[in-house]
Amino acid sequence: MNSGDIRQTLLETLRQVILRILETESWKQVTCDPIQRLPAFQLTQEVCGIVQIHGVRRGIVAVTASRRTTAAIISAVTGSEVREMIDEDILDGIAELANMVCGNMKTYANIGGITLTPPMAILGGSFVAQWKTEHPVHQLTFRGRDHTLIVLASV
Amino acid sequence: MRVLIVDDSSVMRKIVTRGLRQAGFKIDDILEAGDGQQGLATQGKDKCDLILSDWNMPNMDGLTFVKELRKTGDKTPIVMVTTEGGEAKVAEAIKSGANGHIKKPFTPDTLRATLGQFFK
Repeated sequence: MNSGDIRQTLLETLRQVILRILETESWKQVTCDPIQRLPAFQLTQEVCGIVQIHGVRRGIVAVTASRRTTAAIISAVTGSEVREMIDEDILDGIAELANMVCGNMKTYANIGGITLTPPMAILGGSFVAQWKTEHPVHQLTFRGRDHTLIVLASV
Repeated sequence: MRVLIVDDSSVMRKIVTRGLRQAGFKIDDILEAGDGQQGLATQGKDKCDLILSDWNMPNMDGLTFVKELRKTGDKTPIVMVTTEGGEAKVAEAIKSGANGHIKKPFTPDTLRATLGQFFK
């Protein structure tokens, strides 16, 4: 596979595994917008879970959402009340979601020779963070009935 | 029946706990540990009948946990709960003494199908 084929495989696998994870874990009738190309890998949402890809293919994937959406996802899968959720729950939840997304992407894309870093999580009321990336940046936007989850990928 | 969940994510421990309850298993007690070292200590003190362990954890990962527990002669069934389900990884876990494997995300049906044999 050439570089473009690997990118397409990883992006399409990401789309499929996130749809499956969201449907399994919490959301019903989730849809994905057409994949968009972005000028930079820039995080602006309140909650972000980030995993880096190392090995024969390097890259970065970020799962991002509002605190409200993240809390709703965690509440749906754990049974915890949204109002009882503390920052540590939000950070742990988005990190685990990013870990699950990228682990499934690695398994089903079956590219071989890549490893994943442990997830990093960010929670903040107002920030902009930007990474310099080796590959083009794409955005996958997933919409549930009341929530939106955005995934950035440079793969 | 006592179950030990070994995972560094408190959210994931809650997800597994909820999944076990939703699957309808008769469980008397669920104990939790945040990594392999804590898992060994907990199992050494309060022996459980089934262990569900994450793979990637700080201090002691799931694979080392399996190997270390087996070294003690403990034959309690261990099922790995992981995000990566590659065949080589699963084979490595089984060779090291794990008894099964569940891939995240899972449903109560998945848990029933994989763990049912250990609740008989």
